[in-house]
Amino acid sequence: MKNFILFIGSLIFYAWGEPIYVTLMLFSTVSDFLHGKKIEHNLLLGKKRNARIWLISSITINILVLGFFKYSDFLITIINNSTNSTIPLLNLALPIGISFYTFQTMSYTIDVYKKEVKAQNKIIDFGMFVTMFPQLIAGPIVKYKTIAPQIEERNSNIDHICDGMKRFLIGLSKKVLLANQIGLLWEEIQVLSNPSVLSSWMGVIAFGLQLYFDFSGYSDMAIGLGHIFGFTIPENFNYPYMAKSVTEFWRKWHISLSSWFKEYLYIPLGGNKGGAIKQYRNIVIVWLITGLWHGASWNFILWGMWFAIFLFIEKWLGERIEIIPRFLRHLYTLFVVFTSWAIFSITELSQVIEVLKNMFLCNGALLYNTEDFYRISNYWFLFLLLIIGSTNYPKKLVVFFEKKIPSIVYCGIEYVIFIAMLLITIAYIIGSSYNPFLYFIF
Amino acid sequence: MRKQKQLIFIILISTIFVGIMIFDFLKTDQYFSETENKILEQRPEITLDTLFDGSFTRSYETYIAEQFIKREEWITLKTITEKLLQKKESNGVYFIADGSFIEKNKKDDFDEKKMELKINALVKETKELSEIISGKVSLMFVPGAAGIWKEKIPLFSDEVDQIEIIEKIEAYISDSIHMIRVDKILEQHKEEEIYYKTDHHWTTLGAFYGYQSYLETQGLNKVSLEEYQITLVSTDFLGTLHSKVNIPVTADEIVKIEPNEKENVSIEYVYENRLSDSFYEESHLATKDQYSYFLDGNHPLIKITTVGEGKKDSILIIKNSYANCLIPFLSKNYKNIHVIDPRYYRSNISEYAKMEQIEDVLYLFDVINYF
Repeated sequence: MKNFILFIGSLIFYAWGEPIYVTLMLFSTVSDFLHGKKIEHNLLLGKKRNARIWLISSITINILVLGFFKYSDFLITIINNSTNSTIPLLNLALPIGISFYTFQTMSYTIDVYKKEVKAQNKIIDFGMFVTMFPQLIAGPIVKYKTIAPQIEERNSNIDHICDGMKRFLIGLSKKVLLANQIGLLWEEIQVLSNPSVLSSWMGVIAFGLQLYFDFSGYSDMAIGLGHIFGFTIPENFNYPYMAKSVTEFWRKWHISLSSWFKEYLYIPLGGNKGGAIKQYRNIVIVWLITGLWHGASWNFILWGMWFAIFLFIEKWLGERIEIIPRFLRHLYTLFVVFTSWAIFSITELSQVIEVLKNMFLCNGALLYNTEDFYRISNYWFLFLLLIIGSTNYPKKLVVFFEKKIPSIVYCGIEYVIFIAMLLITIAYIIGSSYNPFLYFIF
Repeated sequence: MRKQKQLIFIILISTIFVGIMIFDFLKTDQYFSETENKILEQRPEITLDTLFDGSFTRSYETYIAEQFIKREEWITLKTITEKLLQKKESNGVYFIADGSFIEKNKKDDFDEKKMELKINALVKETKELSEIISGKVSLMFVPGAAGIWKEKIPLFSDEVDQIEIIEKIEAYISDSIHMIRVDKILEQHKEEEIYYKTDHHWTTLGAFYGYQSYLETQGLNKVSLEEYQITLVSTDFLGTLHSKVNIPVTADEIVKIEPNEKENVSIEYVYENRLSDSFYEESHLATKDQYSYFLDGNHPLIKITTVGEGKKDSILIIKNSYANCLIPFLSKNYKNIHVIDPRYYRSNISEYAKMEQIEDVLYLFDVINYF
């Protein structure tokens, strides 16, 4: 019954944003539900080959659905450019969350095939898993096997609800108060016709911080909402900007995606078994696809390859990397990651190159200009908050105070802060639509 | 103990959520917002079409945001947070150290090409008019507060240089046309209250100095403030800049400045078919938009007739709202004053000048809103 209500609720939630494509999501649900049953059925009968066919069919359908909506125009453009043909573009709107839910359903059929989970017998329960609204839109990508026991049985007590609410409020504030606000700076810099070197770097840093607070804010909200309903959704971020190598960064950033690729792509390809050459090949494949997963254009491929290069180097260095002082390793990681955001942020490859040239002093732009000082004077405080906020120091501070001051005082302060956060968030949401129309009195 | 504290938290947050939802649901929707000066989104109607193309849910979100309970107070909270975050501006308004506001005009919003087109059109238009009329064509482009009070606005700001724009216009127009450099006289009086603290207009005092510089360039008799009587008409004016940020601020005063010997005037609001015997409309002082006190706000065409000897025959003023508080001064110098607001007046202005046998023409705009 709980699952039925959640299922219906999630469908309404999705239909609010995507009134048409909700049918596509239902199709995915039914298709993988049936495939799961077929796979299990064949495995029980010992027909491994048939099970395999059903698995391939399931993966094919998922990839076709995702590929059709997400990549067909990209493919058509490539074909058009290479053969001088003029196949018209489809201009399909990308259904919200499609990259997330197709990956979730794929993990299900694969795990059934690997006998890691039992196939789900109730379509409602399976539908609830696919459509679960807290993480439907922006992850985390929850593997079926992680959540399977909770689908059958979970309990939501005061502890869960309270923690969930706190987590949700933290996520909401991160998104609205931090990510959206620094996003304004990025938007401003993005449209500059002759940005200085300093503006370009400020823009990229703003974008990187926006991305982290936006995405991890969404994950916090998902985890918090999940908690309220009694689910334990795995963490998706673990202070990635504190990482001291690119390898470590990818263990801390969008964890659910990197672990998905590791489990369902890198390891099946052979992983690190089979020699260095094979391993490098596997890294390239995984990062090519990771890049493409983020979007259908060349810059994402380049972005994936950029990371592959540094992962190679780090693999080759192995433990030798630890000779370098921690501080420098941290700086190197941030440099690689934030440079990657310059590639990630703009889909037009020629513009990416312009920005990179600008950042690395290759096109004679001014080092700084007076507008940069003004931007800094407006945003320095927010930058400071964001930088501190991407470390684990605030958390340590909270833990420290929790121990040091009387619990009733701590509790009072905590509640006041949460309520203030909620009210200010509402103010910012309302404020974003507040634009006095003043032209009529001029 | 732990359970109780958690329960309190849950109840607190839920109360805020549910409370806001209930109050928001119960309150009656507003049609028009005086502070924002716009018609607000109304509850959208649901049809199959709007539901499937997603426009229903979009309008519904706008509707919720625009009709949100205590909307203006939420904006206040947002602006206060921005100030705490050490922002120098919010919603296109600079925070000034003394607590007042100045309108921000970003350099990038003034496109060179568009500006040149506009100036070329102006050059053509003024040339045409100068051939029709018997007197002179003059231009008065008034800089906004940020153009004169440069040292008040935040350091390094990307504010457009309004004086540069005025100089550009001056360079383009032909010599037969008077460019009234009102910025120079305002510069001399910059220590005085020539702009409102909460509104983007100049004050009546600012307009008086504008009037003085007009007289000077026309070679008309000079006047001094002593010959005028200053009357305080409002002490609670909160203008457009205040609306944008909505935080507490000392309200502005509005004054009227009239000659010691008052003149009888007759004002005809032509399109509205209404007559008045005063430049000032008291009724607006009770509303939000108090600047409309001057000449009843903006109208496509106004005809003003004055009595008295020794005046020139007529002037046509092509203007925006910056002119509204200056026009009353001109009644001392002209028998007939025609006022056209080109944003609302849709007929041909040259034809009008020809028909009415206009003597002088004055273009009066603020720099920012002209472009």
